[in-house]
Amino acid sequence: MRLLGIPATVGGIALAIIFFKVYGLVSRPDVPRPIAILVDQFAPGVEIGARVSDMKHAVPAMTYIPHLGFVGMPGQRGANLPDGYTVRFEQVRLLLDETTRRQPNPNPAKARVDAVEVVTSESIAAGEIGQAFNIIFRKPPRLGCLHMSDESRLRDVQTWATPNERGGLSIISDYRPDPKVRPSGPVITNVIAFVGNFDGGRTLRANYTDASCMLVSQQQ
Amino acid sequence: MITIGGRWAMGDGRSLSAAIVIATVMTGACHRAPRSDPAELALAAAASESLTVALADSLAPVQGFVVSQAGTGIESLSACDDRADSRGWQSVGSSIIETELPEGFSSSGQSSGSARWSGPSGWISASAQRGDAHMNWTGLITSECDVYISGWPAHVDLVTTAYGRGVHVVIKPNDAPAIGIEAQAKTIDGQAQMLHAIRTARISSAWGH
Repeated sequence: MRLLGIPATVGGIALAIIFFKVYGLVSRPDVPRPIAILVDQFAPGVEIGARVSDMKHAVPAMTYIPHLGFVGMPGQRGANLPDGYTVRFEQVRLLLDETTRRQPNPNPAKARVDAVEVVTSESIAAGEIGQAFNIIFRKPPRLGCLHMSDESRLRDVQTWATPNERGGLSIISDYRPDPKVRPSGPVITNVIAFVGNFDGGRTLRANYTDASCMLVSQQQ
Repeated sequence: MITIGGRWAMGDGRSLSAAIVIATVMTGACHRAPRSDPAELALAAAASESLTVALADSLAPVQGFVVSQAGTGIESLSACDDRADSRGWQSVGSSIIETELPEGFSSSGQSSGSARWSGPSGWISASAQRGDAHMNWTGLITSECDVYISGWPAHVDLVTTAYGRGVHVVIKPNDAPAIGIEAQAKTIDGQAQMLHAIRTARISSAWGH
């Protein structure tokens, strides 16, 4: 009888594991909390997964850019990094999924935000935001590189993913082989918040290579 | 066979294994990313890059960066560049495009399907485009770039010709016929000006109606 009880116990444990696994999948929020909080800090009132029309007050003067999404100016709420520093973002992009962004004029009342991108021209933004993400995610970023249409230009990508790869954040900044050389134009930093697995160029809407720009430039 | 609150009646080990495998496969399937279309991704990348370049260009003067090329020769020009100084330029319009052109340019012919302006440093014309971006003209292509003009995908070619330096652009609006724009200048500075005039052009609301 005792021998017969062993499979039942193992079965019970397995059932409990499956139950909690399924319960976790069903009950957890669509957007991981750290991602949702950071998006709200950088672009107050903006939410991944929400309808574009629900954010018309948070993103005034929105314009639709075909094949990308809706673009406007984000609001500002004060300090938006853990150390009290405030990064001022000049632009917020409500990125749409592939099916929706193909449409010449998608309905904002139906289109849902697939990912959020914020853009700043503050020269130290990439460093400040990167430090904050290192503290929040407690791990170093995955490094990558974007190829621009001008072949001589590359952009560094640093990506942090949440546990279980349920979402993440990427910082995109201009690659400068010699940081001492003064840039010839504004230093633009983009931050993209996404849900689901990081899928390189598909996630970033760009020509992505899974290697640091330093490595890419050495190989060129 | 599994009975809640009861015992494993038969084949319990195999049923359990099967249940775990099914649950694992289903969990994995839920997380799989859909396939993406490379052409659509390229358009998204071009739109994103154009937007970032436009933002940087708009912020450059405010942040003290020199965007003017007047008086200083441009040694090389990329089709992705947009760095001419348009201060003092005049607005021009037609049934196809509206834009700003350097001082001295004036209309040299307009119809419902074409428009042309000429000036001391060259000329620019716009008309309906038939065929591929690289058709109906000759010259040595020195640079190419895919950008967005007036919100629509566009292909830019910089060309060296017998006249001097040319710019060939095809804009493809979704809701109207494609527009071909050709500009010719005698110098590289003039070519940069024509490139800027085309990059900042807006498709007329009358086009295609």
